Amino acid sequence: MPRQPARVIWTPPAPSVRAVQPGAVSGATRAILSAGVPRIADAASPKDDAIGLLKLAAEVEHALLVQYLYAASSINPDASPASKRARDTVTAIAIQEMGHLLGVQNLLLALGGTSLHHLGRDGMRAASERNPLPLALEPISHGALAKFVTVERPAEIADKTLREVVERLGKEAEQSSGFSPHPVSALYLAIYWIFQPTDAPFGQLPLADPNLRRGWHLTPADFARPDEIDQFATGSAEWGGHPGLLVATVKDSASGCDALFAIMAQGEGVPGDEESSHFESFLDVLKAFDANQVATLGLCRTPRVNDQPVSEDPHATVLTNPYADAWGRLFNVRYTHLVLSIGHACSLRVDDADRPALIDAARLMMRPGLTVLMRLLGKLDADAPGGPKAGPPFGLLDDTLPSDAVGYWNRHRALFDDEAACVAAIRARPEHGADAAGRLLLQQLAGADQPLIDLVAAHP
Amino acid sequence: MKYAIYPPIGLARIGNSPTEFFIGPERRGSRGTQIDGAGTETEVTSFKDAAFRLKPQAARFTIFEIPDAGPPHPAQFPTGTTIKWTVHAVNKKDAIDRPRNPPPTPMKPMIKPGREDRIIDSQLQSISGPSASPVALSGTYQDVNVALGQLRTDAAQRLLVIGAPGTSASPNNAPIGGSFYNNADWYDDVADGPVTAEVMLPQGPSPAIAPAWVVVGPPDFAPASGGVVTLYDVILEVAREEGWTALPEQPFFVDDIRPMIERARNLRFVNNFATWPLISGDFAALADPSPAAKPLREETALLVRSVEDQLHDFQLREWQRQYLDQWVAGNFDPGAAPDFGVAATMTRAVLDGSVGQGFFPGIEAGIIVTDPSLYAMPFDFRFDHSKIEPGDVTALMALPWQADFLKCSGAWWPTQRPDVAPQDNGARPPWLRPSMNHKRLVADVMRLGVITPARDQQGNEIGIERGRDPQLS
Repeated sequence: MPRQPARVIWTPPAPSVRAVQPGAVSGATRAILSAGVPRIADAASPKDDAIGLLKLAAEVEHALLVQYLYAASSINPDASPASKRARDTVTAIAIQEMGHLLGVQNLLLALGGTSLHHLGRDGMRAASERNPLPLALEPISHGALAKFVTVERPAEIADKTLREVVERLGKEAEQSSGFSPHPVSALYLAIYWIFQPTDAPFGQLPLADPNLRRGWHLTPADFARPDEIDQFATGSAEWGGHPGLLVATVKDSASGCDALFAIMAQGEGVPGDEESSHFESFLDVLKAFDANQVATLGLCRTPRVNDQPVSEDPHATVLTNPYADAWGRLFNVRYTHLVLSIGHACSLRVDDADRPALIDAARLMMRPGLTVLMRLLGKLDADAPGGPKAGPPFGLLDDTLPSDAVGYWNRHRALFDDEAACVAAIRARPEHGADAAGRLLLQQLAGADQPLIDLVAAHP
Repeated sequence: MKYAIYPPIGLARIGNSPTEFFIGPERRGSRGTQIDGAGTETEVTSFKDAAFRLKPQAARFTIFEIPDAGPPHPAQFPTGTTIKWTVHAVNKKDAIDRPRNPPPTPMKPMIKPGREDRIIDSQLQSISGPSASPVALSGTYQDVNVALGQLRTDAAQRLLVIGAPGTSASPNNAPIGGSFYNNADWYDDVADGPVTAEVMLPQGPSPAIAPAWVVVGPPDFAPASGGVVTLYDVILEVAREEGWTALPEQPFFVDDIRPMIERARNLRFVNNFATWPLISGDFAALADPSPAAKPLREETALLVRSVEDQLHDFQLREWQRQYLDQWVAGNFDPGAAPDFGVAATMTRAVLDGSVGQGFFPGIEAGIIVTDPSLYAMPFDFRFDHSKIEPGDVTALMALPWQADFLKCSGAWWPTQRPDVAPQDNGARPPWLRPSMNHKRLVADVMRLGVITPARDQQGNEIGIERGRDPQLS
């Protein structure tokens, strides 16, 4: 029987919150002020609390990743250089969220090994009340960008004009969605507090807040042995070292706090940072969008096939065009398989020959696998001709990771069977005969899958 | 009579072989040439020397005469003529005000006050006469001498600009790896700048010679494959958009379509995506404009276009898209374009050796080349030297270039920085192996292999890794 996800409780914001060194980093004060402090209900120890909150963080990162990817896929890169730039920018942010998701796996690994890895998306997060955003797949728009800016915003914005703009965007986002987006850093801040060794200010983010539980910190005994961590920790080089992909190894309080700080900094930025933050990048895209420089592909909102897990978005669009439905199902299987492959790779020792093979397979599933499918779905009607286009449904068909190697290999086999059924359904559609691009795409995907098929076959 | 230096933009590359070099491609299908001791020029077959060091690439410049009618042709000067070449190479990557990310639109590099001592400036260096003794291009980064390359001339007084030895360093041991793009207090030895010539005739005044530009870029570790979009394609699109040049109404298969197909197909040597092997190499069938061959054209065009989904930050130029559409429709000439002469061929071959996508920031040159204000008129791919300064073309590229090479594996610029390295036995290990951090890559990058053109037993063109230092582990 599946274990119930841990429950998250948010302590309301304190009346007064301060950073010990104001300006040392942005984000802390306002994040707590706006969202409060999360904790895991019934956590028996700081370690339990940290593990639960890290799993929530993994789900939040995973959800943001797909929301950003969907928004990127809704931009027409061919319309103009500015439009292409906007698509590239949002895609790059999504890839960096992937780095955050992997970084959180390393934080979990440090606290208890690979069994703690968590790549789920909808278990704890959907039930947690002050998430940054509910999961809705929105095409790029002023409203969607207002939400993204609010989620990634720093606490203290020195420039008065910019501060007013950002606060107005936050209000717009709240009015349009009926939900108040919260900075994601509120969650990381609570985790940072637990990772620091004492109540005394620590590392790059000196904190003090009455709602942060005093004396509630990890001890050296809470961490796995460094040599065990080294056997499994992942890093950006394994994943191709994409620009801005931050995946740090964590072995103790100091490296844990550094990793958490880096994730927060990449989102909202810190003074002197060499690369643009997500906040700044989303603001740039918003400016371009408001200047009518970003062309869209007319995707629907939150596409879904009718038997994928229920959407959090009350405005979700069921793909009633049978051909789009068939491709959407294939997308969901391949997306689920991608998540499984990432989890499987991270569960193996770094010197296991299957690990790089699984990482290569996962990377091929991302690019070109998902990218070409996303482009194709963006050209199919969600319903009838003339209406919105379909777009990738990002249905995660299984939120869990297997507990052992046999379970992983069997799950691969099951997903390949599912994929074969989806491909057969696509080929059976009358539209497929005239769809040269679709036929080629299936050939490309089959070729891309072959190394993983061979690998799975070697593990009967 | 008018004269001009060709190519208008020459492309050299760094390399650490102190004894050997090769001349970059100057005609279609060439990967470059090498000159033996007897002066005989042959197609280059190895990009490494016997000690597994990378041969630097030389850019060769020639003075062409531009007749009132007909294409430019190599100038013939009377016996006793001396040609004096002057080059000014600059690397100012660490001296400028660098944006946090590669600029999305062209921007003029501006020196950051207080960092002037980081401008590595060769000053004006000249060389004259046939087979002249080498002249060094070098400058200083703070107090450190940095070689930026070398000038030579051949027996015909053509200029050779040979790339620098490939040294990247930080005199004060600044960290590297925080960014793929910016690593302050580091330098590398790529460079760019003007190339001018003075022709001293036995009698009479020296004629005016339109100048050229040299770019000394990072190595090309995969000459077996070429960018589907090159700097030539990018600059041609600038000219087309500005109305400086009009493309033929119909594409020519040999010159306009086949290169795109071949380059996309040859990505199979450097990247594992399943798409590239699906691209047909039956060029006779692909050149068939009949309706019967349309399905093959449609399929091939889709596969070529899929490069936009499969490589990061990648877009075909609009002229390429339009020509692909026309080709699919059968509206094309199956033959070659009219011959516009050696200068035009050389101009294209040189720039086709580069990558033109995506500019994040790119390899040899970045998005600055899309700035229309930089070009001289009438347009012939030549910079207006009053609009651009030495070092501008390379200033906003990654600092050092190895930072970008490490972080940009996986479908960024596999034609220069391969993702995989095909072996004779069919294996395809990662090109970058063993796993390296930035410091290690800076130290060992020249020891890595080169994906080199070869033939399989059936005579098909393949790309195989050659020249990897066997001691590298």
